[in-house]
Amino acid sequence: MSGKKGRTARAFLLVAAFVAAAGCWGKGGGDAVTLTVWRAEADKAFADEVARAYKEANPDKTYKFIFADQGEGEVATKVLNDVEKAADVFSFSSDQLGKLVNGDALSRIGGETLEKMKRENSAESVDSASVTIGGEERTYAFPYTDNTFFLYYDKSAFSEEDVRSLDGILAKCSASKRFAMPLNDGWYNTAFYFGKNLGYEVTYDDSLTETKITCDFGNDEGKAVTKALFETVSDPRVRADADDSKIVAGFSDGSVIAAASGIWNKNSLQGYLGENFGVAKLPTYTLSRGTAEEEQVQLVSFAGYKLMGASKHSAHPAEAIRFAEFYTNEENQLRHFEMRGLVPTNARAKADERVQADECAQAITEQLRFTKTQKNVPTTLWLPMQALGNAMITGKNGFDLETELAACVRAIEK
Amino acid sequence: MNNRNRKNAENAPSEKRKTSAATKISFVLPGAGQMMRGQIVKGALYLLTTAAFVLYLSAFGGRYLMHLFSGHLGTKTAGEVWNDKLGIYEKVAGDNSFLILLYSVATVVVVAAFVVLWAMNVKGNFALDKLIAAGGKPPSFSEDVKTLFDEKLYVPLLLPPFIGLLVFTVMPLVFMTLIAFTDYDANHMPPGKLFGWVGLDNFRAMFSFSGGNGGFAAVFLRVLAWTFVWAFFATFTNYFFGLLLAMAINKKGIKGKKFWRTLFVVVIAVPQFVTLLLMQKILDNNGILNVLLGKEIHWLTDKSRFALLPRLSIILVNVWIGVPYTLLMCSGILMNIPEESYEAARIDGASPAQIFFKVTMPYMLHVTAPYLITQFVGNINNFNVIWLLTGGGPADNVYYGSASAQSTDLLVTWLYRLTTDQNPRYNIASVIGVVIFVVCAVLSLIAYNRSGAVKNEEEYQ
Repeated sequence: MSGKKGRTARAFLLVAAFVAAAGCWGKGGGDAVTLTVWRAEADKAFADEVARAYKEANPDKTYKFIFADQGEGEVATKVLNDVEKAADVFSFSSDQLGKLVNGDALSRIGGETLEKMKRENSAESVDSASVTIGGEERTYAFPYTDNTFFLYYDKSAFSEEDVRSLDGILAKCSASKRFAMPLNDGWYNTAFYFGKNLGYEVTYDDSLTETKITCDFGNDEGKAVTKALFETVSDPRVRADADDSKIVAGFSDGSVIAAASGIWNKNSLQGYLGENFGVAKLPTYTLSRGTAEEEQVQLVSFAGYKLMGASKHSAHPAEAIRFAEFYTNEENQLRHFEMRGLVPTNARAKADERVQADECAQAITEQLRFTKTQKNVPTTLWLPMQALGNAMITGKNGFDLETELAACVRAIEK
Repeated sequence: MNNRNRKNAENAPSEKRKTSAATKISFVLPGAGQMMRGQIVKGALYLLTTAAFVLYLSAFGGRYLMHLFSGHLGTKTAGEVWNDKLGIYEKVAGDNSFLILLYSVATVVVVAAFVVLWAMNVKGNFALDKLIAAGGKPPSFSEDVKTLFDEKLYVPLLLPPFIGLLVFTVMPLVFMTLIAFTDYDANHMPPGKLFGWVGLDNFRAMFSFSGGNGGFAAVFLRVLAWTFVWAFFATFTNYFFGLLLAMAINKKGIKGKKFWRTLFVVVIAVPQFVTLLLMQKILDNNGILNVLLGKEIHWLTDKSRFALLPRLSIILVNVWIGVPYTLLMCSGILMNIPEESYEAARIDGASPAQIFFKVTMPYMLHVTAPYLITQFVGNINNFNVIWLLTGGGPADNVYYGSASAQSTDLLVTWLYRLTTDQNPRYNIASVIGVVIFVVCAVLSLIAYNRSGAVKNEEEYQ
């Protein structure tokens, strides 16, 4: 469908390019390079800055940048609609790497460029941009920041002691001043399971197709965790269907006083909380196994990375890679930190005193001790976990834990 | 009549007697026959078209035509190679299964078109033989063109829509249907990966009960059942409430008929999707309705009791959107019911209920049966209402598992999700497309052929 349209469009483009080339020839100059870049909406100002700096750094060539908003979680779906029509350079979260490589969308990175990236960035971040095919490690994108979530809270309502445990947080919350966490989202609600070291196992063949998926959320430990998750969801002091817009709106009108969210909400939340703006690692939750025995379990968040990749099908593959590299270099990672608070993966940028002194960066660094690396995640994880969360939210009293959990695990496994 | 028969009888022996050399040549060389008999331009056009066709086949189409017999859709996978000078990996293009299939289908269409043209050429030559035997003179090119704007006017008039239909409807339809016999899914995405033929595997998967959650077949039956339930209620609630409303407004003694009619029809002035999005916001978990009620009722997301609440909500919202249309239509028809029928009924002492069931309803059903059928089939494929209200949700692991379907999905929204999902399954979506076509075609044919409007066409005339 879109493929056919794409070809027509390409035919037009070809003609247009030909005409343009002929035109340039006539004028006797100009090797303008046009690069289409997909980045998050919130990165608009940042990306414009980078483009400006890039043009300045490369005065011998004419560059034209076309930016478009594209949520980083959806990039793979959009790109794979028609890889030949996708942007030349695009930002995405690392969990989509496998799909993009499988779909032949990304330029592989090698040579000196790869060596430099490996020297300058943390090993985990480079690892998140790499896949193993036939025993060979191949890198396909440039990392630029960690992607995880942690706790935001109102300092006037909680002490540092309170925010260590969910019970402590909820003790200070009420139905009109709630704790918010998107528990109908697999990226967040899995934190309960990872806390007890429950997980999944995916086997890939050489073309990165998932051949077998197992998941142990359904065992006895998993059932206890699910029960704790359900109790959290059904607590009236918890806002469980809280997406980003609801969290931000909640802080703005005071109906939410603590929330689990990522760095992308920093600027708006800081604006609402002012000097009461507080951040910390995620709290612990109480796990009980029916008997009197209770246990505090640390919430373990997914830790992915944000990556910048170049399209394999770009008209200017070398230029696309060069720009992706520039977009994620030390200087621009620092710029990204200053404009949006994104914590760098570049070792020297991260060691910068401004980053070291930042409380969000500290909270993230603290949280990174309790994370599950978002790599080799089953592509089937998200929808069933979302459905499970929704079943908890709408089920309230009618939630059949055993059946729902078993069905969820069955939907994840393959 | 008699005259023509005699003429045919005279011609028959000469036709049988001999096929001219020119006609024989035109079998292998279209246009030659015409040229040999003085129709230079027409013959040249045939020849040129043939040359273009041969060129197309040898340069492009032939290889795709052969692909149809090769049993695969490409063998060379795309890759990458290190370019030391530029310091980058460059792409190595492989076979693109998608394009191969597309061009193969296109080539088949071109071949079919050429066969038609060839047949026209041969037929034309036989006609020429006949004409010359009867002592006639082959028409010149300008005479031929003239007939195109006279007795053959239908040709230039119908050709563009016919070609359009072929290129924009039939060809894509064939192409999409063929996808149902391949393994085109997230793991076989061109241009990076190849896909190939898998025969009836997708149909087998769709209709098998093995595997988790009762296999695809169980999910399919659930979605199908809801599709029918939805189509039934969506069609008949609208019809019934529209009719009631129209009758109420039409009743003698109601004041301000025009005002009431306009009031309800104003709903149509707001675009449907705007109304739907508005309703979705109103029914949202934190929507106005819940705020007014002071409760948190999950109108569109509660999956308990087979998602009863979302399903009811959808049908009710659909009533709001659809009733004005039925109201408009029914008002017109109601005004057309002959007053004599009512008078006769009243004189016979019929009660209002009897009049409704014995006079109004039969008349309405007779006139609107084709409309109801189109409505029903239309509702089977009513994408907008479902997608804009619930997006097919709420998701439900227990009943739909990993089949990508959700509680309020119709076949058509399920199809859509399968193609836009995180892990698209175009092949399965195509199977559903085929199933939807079969369901709609069969239903329409049966219902239409059995409806009174067809059987007793003359009844109310």
